[in-house]
Amino acid sequence: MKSTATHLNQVSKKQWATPDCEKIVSLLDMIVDGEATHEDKNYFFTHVETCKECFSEHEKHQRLKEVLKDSIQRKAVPSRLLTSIKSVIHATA
Amino acid sequence: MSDQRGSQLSKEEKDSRFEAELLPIIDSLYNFAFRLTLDEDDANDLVQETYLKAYRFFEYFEQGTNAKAWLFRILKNSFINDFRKKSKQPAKVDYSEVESYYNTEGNDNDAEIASTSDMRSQSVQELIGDEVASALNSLPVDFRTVIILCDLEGFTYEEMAKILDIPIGTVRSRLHRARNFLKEKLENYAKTMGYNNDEE
Repeated sequence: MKSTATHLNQVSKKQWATPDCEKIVSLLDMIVDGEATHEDKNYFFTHVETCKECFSEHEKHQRLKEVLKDSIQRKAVPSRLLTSIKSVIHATA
Repeated sequence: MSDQRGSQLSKEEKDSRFEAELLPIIDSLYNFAFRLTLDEDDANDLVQETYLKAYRFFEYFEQGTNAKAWLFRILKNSFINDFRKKSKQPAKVDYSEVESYYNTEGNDNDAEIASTSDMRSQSVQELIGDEVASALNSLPVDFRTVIILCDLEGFTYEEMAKILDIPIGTVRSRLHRARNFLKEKLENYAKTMGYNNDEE
């Protein structure tokens, strides 16, 4: 039986049309996270304008980030937790 | 600007500084703890333990530095070092779900469509939310953690590297693999639900 780590590797190992596309895919995360350099951004968006597959990958990556942010419900902090932390701290020397 | 360290403060001053600087982060911290442990009581204990450690080491915290990253680092270390060992539900990685997802891919779409057809009345947003949460929860904890820190809490790669004690390159590769996994899982879900955004 394959491990989860192996699966995680396999889903990343997709074949891309050109070496350029491979480089674009390696930049995807930095682009959507706002961590790419100015130079990388130029390279990325110039390529994406003319490559349908990379355009679609970028869209999916961007959409995933938004969906995660918007759909994962935040839990309300139990009020007793804050009270309990404060009282323990006040009692600590 | 005061450069008084925690150790030189009176108890009242220390408490009031601690409360003003660190307690406002409790919401993010609790959500991080919940996403790691997937259990409200465990999250509660983990956050409490984190704040007590932070209080004990408050003199090492430099005022004006990144309090949120500091607390997240303490919480993550508590989770790895102490909590995971004694937790009633340790790593809670749902390997079986990940395995079956790959092993049955394409074979049980009909069953999935049948089982989802009677849920049309539920709001789409709610369903998507549940599915996204379950996909996220099915990731091994190291991969889940980078998604939480980056996409839910908005930390930079550099901050994540410090919180997790790993090189930035590892942060990037974990994020990439985790996202590819989530994309594939959610795309398959979208197909079974009958809305495939790729067919444009």
